Amino acid sequence: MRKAIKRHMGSAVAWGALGILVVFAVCSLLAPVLTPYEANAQDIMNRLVPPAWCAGGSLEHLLGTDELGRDMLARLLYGSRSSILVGVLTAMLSGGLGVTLGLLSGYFPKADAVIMRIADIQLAFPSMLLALAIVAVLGGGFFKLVMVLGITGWVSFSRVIRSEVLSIRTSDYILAAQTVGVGQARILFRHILPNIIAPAVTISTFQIATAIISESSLSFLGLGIPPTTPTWGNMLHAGQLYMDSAWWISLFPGICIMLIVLSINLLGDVLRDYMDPKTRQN
Amino acid sequence: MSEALLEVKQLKKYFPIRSQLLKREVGAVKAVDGVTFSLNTGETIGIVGESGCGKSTLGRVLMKVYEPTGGEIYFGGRDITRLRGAELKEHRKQIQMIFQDPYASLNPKMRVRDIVAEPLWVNRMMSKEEAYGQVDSLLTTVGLRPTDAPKFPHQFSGGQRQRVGIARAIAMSPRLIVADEAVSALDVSVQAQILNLMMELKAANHLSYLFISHNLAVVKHISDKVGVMYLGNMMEIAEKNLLYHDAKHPYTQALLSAAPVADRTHKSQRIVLKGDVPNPANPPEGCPFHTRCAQCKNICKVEKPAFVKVADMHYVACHLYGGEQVQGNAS
Ligand SMILES: Nc1ncnc2c1ncn2[C@@H]1O[C@H](COP(=O)(O)OP(=O)(O)O)[C@@H](O)[C@H]1O
Ligand code: SF4
Ligand SMILES: [Mg+2]
Repeated sequence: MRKAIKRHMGSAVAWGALGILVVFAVCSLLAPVLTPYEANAQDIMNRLVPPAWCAGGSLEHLLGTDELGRDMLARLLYGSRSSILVGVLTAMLSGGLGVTLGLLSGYFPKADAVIMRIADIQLAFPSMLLALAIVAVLGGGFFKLVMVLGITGWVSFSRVIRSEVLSIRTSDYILAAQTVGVGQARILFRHILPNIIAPAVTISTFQIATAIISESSLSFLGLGIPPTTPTWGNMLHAGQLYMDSAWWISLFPGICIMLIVLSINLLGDVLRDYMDPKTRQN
Repeated sequence: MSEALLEVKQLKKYFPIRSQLLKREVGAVKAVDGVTFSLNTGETIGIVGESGCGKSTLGRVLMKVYEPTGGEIYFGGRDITRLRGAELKEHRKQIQMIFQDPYASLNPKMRVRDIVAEPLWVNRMMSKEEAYGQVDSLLTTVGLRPTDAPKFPHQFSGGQRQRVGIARAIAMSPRLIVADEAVSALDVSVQAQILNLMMELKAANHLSYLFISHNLAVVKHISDKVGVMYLGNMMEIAEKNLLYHDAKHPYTQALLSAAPVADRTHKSQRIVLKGDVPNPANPPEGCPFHTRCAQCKNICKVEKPAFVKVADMHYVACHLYGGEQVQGNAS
């Protein structure tokens, strides 16, 4: 009974999370239809207008305007595009790198020595400093930002994947595969890889979340996406100066980030359970 | 009798102990330290001994999972001690393994049909289609149903899982199966079923088993002859009834007196072993058992006893018995 309720709750939460993600995705695609404003259209006469339901608010700007008179709702809608894209692309890049290197590292002791040294060196640098250095050399921009975040993110993937592989490698079922004559490539990709997909998915969801947040910090430093492109991150930071007088400038992007990160993480949990044949059965 | 399928002479496997810091070799665990025996086609040898005495290591060296440190292994008259690469892969088809833990020995992400068919096609013995065509009959042979093929391991009970493991092991029609504690993780009632299945398969396919277990009763049930190991050494090998009713070695006698073997005719007093098993990284001088042996003599502390034949089908390594010394072909 309790289990049934729990399972029910679980699926309700999963559907809720999925619903939120779908709403975000649809809104970001349909931004031009949903708002008459352009993200960067300034209106100096209407600076710092509060949301419609507050005193001094106006139905013209449902969520108010920022310090340059730009419509908050329009900026949130357009901003979701870059934020979601940064998150997903970063997770794919660091996931691809991290899973590959983690597999090699866990399975081949010689590769392990090299890969883990590189990981150690990379971890010794604060990731912000590393990102700064890379951006200083390569320059900013959307794809460079994704590269930087992807490259700084692989270590956490590799570490987890490596330790999973280390324990799987010595398991009886791998020994059994070896003794029946299965080759190394097949052992690596058909026997070990399916067993590390679940942790990889879990880390990916965290990576998407961290990337969305890191994008905001880097962009704030002027190193990521140029300020002319709205992102939730640069909106959040821009609003910090006006926290006392115009709280809505940073509160709304903050809520968006929180909602999407939470939904992705919840969905990640459900996805992980789904991929486990043990729980899928029920 | 039939020809010797497996001959093992003075087999050794040492695991190096490395220092934490510099990874220098500072010693070795003598997991298997000079084991000699032979096994005929269609025969089952049981290997018994306390945990840590080197039974699994012996099995794995025979499977060539570990490279032997010393000694020789002959299989079907051929020296396989240093076999590598393609030849090793070819040879491996003839020796398969059944594992202790049916939960750990089946990949949780693979379906039963993939687990069972894989050995057949990865070795290019047949095409993938043909291999999958064999799954139903293999499953039936081990007492499962063809409808079990698409299931995942977790959908089975422990005993059924062990049957899947057995199906995988017999898929390539091996000549020898190393069964390492193959029933130790199962319920007693299920143990008997699996042992019976193994004996049926042996009779039908002319298989030989190296049956490793710490359980004397189980070994007695399935074996033709039994070897007793202690600290990496073979202490006594004898035809099953000789070993269970006329054990010569003080260690075997102690093991038997402590074990609840049902029909013990020789009512001996219960011999309680004193002390602990010594560390295999630093085994005692002389007879490995002398630190715990009630009949220890002076010579036992300095000279390692030779493996001698005390009767037909009966070999012992103990200074209490004189006999014809074995030059590495005990049977
Ligand atoms: N891969 C290994 N590396 C180092 N030592 C090992 C390894 N495998 C086994 N040993 C050691 O060898 C000895 C014999 O172990 P094992 O063969 O597993 O014994 P048993 O199967 O009889 O319980 C033990 O002391 C064990 O710690
Ligand atoms: S050789 Fe000596 S110490 Fe060893 S078992 Fe025989 S009597 Fe005991
Ligand atoms: Mg063992």
